[in-house]
Amino acid sequence: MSCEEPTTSPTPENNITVVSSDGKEFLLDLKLTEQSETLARLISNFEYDRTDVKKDPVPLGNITSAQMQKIIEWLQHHRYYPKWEQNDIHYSTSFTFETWVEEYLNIPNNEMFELLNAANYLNIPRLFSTICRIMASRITGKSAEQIRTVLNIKTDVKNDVYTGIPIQEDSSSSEDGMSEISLSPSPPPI
Amino acid sequence: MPLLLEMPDLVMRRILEESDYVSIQSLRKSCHHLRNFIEDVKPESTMSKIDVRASTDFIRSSISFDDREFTIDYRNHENGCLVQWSQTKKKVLENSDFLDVALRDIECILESKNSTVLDYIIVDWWQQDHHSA
Repeated sequence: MSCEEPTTSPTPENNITVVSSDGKEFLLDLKLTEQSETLARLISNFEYDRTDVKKDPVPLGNITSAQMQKIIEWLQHHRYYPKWEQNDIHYSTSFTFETWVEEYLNIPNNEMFELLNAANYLNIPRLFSTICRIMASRITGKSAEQIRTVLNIKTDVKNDVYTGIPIQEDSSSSEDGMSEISLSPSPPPI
Repeated sequence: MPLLLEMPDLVMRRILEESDYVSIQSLRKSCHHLRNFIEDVKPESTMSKIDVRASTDFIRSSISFDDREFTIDYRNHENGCLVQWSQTKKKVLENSDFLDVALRDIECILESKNSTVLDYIIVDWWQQDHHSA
């Protein structure tokens, strides 16, 4: 589906200014803010959609300028998309994404999580849902050990309180070579 | 650097909703924090049937979902319990009793079941020669 159309530059009448946590100001077209439930509600509450109302800059203390730029890129791309509707959770587990989305989210996990937090904070459901699906796709078909590597999960193995030596797993709960399907092994022991 | 474990509950729940049952079980094994979270949340799944067949030295459990089915065999083995979940994937859990391992897995599967209703659970004595199955 291609919903891209030529974008218009924001003018003082149809935009608001948002300020990232590092103090950078962004001029946002009101049309773009419709995708963010947080911003849309704020604009509605303060009547910033009226031309005779003075618009103060909106501080976004949880979002850096780099994240804001990335989010604006998303909002611009989806400017003319229909309103997001929640998919049924039982839909197919095959993960397919638009090429543009795959390229947009071809970023390291830590940046992905930051973007996910920002999407959650601004309540942009399409972006939020897409990142969650991408994260799920990175988990699918992987063993516990591979998941730890992909998601940078540190095992919570604790040391013996008396010797200070890491507590060893017994052989029956070792995960070496286990498939993703067997349920028997537990996580590394506490 | 943000990590999966530092994500808000809402985010974690949504990622689990997007993941299939087997992936969630792998995720569950990756660390205790995730295991506890998954056991608390009990993510939705389309698990519909559980079929357990047993004999004196062998148990086969088959779990069916809307889009797939998987089977796990547990056999008595000289060193413990042989677990096999495909033609090529198998593992010996040393010093383990096949019955204990199978029951622990079945318990785990049943505990993970959420509010949706199973079509059926069959627990039956194995009727045919499983060595040729």
